[in-house]
Amino acid sequence: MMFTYAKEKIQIGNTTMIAAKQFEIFCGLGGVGKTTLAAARALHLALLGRKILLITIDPSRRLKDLLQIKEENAGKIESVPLSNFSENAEGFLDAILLSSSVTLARVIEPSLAEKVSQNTIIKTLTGTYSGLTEVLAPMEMFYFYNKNQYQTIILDTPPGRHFIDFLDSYQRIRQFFDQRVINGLRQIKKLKFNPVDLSMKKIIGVDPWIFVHKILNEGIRKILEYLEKITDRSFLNEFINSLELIYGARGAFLNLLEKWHLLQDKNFANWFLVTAVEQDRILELLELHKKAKGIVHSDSYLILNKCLSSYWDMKDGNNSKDVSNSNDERNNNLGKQAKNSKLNKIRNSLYDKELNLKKIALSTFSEDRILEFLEILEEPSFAQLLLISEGWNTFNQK
Amino acid sequence: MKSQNKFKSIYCFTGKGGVGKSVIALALAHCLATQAQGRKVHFFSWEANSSAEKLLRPLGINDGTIVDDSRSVIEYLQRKLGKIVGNWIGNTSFFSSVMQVVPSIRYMLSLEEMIKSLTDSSDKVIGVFDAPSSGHMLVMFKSFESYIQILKKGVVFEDILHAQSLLRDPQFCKINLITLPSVFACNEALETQENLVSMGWKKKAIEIYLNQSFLSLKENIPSTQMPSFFSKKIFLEEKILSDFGPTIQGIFPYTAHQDLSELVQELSGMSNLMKLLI
Repeated sequence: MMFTYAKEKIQIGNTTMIAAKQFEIFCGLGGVGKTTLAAARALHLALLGRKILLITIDPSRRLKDLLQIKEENAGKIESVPLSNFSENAEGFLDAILLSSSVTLARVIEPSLAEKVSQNTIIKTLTGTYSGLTEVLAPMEMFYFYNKNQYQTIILDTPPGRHFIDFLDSYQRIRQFFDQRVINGLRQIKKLKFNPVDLSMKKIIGVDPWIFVHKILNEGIRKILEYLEKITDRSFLNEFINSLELIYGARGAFLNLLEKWHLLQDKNFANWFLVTAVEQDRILELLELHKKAKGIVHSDSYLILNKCLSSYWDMKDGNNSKDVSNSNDERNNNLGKQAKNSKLNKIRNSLYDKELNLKKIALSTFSEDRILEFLEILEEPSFAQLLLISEGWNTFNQK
Repeated sequence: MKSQNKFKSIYCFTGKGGVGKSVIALALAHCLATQAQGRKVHFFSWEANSSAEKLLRPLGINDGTIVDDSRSVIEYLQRKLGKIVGNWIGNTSFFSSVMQVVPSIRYMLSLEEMIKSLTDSSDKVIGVFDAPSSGHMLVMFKSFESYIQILKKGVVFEDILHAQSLLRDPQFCKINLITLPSVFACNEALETQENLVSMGWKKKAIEIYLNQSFLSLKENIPSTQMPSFFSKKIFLEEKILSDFGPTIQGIFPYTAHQDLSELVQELSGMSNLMKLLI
């Protein structure tokens, strides 16, 4: 089987590829190298002199291993000196491990901030492992976009279905701040939530709008009455307080969210779907891609990570797929006609996986939208990240 | 195989993304289904339409459930307040829009429901839970602590307190953390273990297993004939083992299969490893 590589194509065609955009988003299933490739991309662009902010929203926060960020600094901008990676490089790469409480504090008006930080429900639900990072991620991105400090904001998303949570965040936040819900809540607040007393006669007839509110309000009151049966009055009061506080920041949330369309704009956003050779899960990734259609624009890239092509023995097998000249070096890397049957089996399985992956990739993405990164057989370190970041150069030839 | 009363009620599998959780979880479920006489095995998965799901029947695993957290809140409300009321509340725009932005409630209640289905069953059921990757699994487990703290009393409070105590009970629940011979995956496994312990889980109920090891190749191939790719892999793996070795309970070898079902069957045939997982 014959394959031409995206990389090769680009070199031959001398085209400029993957210009940096305002937003760059990395997504894919677990363990394919999203965080590493996003960090490598950030480093690559930072070394070219761009102001970069890299945000990770995966609760497992592997980025802290890569960039040696301390867990307790979550939420803060960590400026990693580029000289860590390349001796003479000047400047910094800024990175954030998203922290729900810090993001919330950034978004809301300072006058509300203190009250919000004292509400026990909000406090508890914005702690570590709160599960709010997907919903808050766009807020963090657009907050920094509005600050106008960064030329590119790179987002490392959580695996699989949680990526869909991120994509849904736009709808979810808008729904949450629906005016009708707020009106209903205001009425509850006015009347002081009291499940026993449902009489609202005093209000009816004063203002037709209030009648509408009453109906909505009664709906919500009814819900609260039922919820009281399975929870507790003081909890519900605190719950209403917490909602009211968050709704107080409605304007700030919705203003930021207005920028969402930029993510759908080819001129403003690059989307990278990442998959890895070692996993046979490209079909699941393409399924994810399908679900994301409408949000992820059609001009996105597919990254095949951890390719073993540089390790293949050229003279063994019928492939003519390697583009490199240093064949001698590569001979025997994976074992030329290995005598051991167990080894042969593993070898063939790795080989077939890679071929199969490329076949499926080419059936869905055009060649110039498929990017390959090699498996790096080293422990993670600054030097390794630099090496991987050079992989992005290959696609950037002018 | 250990004697029957030694079985836990549920085995959770987690780890960094892509470490092979599902395959090892399936292998154990398959092994239990064929060997734990008188017990039913119920496989819980978090990913809809996964390749794992399609394998359950061919592997002889009686039951499989895809945990659908989007339904879990409504189902819980129906259980507690009746079908009609539960359905009504769950589908109001007020309630559902609030639930949409706090997914932790959905995760927690789906887990609560899962545990309830195991304890309510009249048969002796063993649950195998192919959990989300460790970050989101911690979100799930952490949510119990959060809502216990927030609610303080009431029916929901009692239910989640009960579910949490079962999950934390080493006789009831065992957590198998799967890792790969990579620094990232091992760091994540150790961190997950530490986090779970800080949330009240017993350390002995959380074990770490290394997957996709190339070490066994060393026994078959003299080092002079080892292709450089594999020597490098083995070199890195030995480094990992010297750093993380004492925390690793067992090592699953890399097995080359194009077919997932074959892979699961080969792993489930490794009885020493299966015994450790139990």
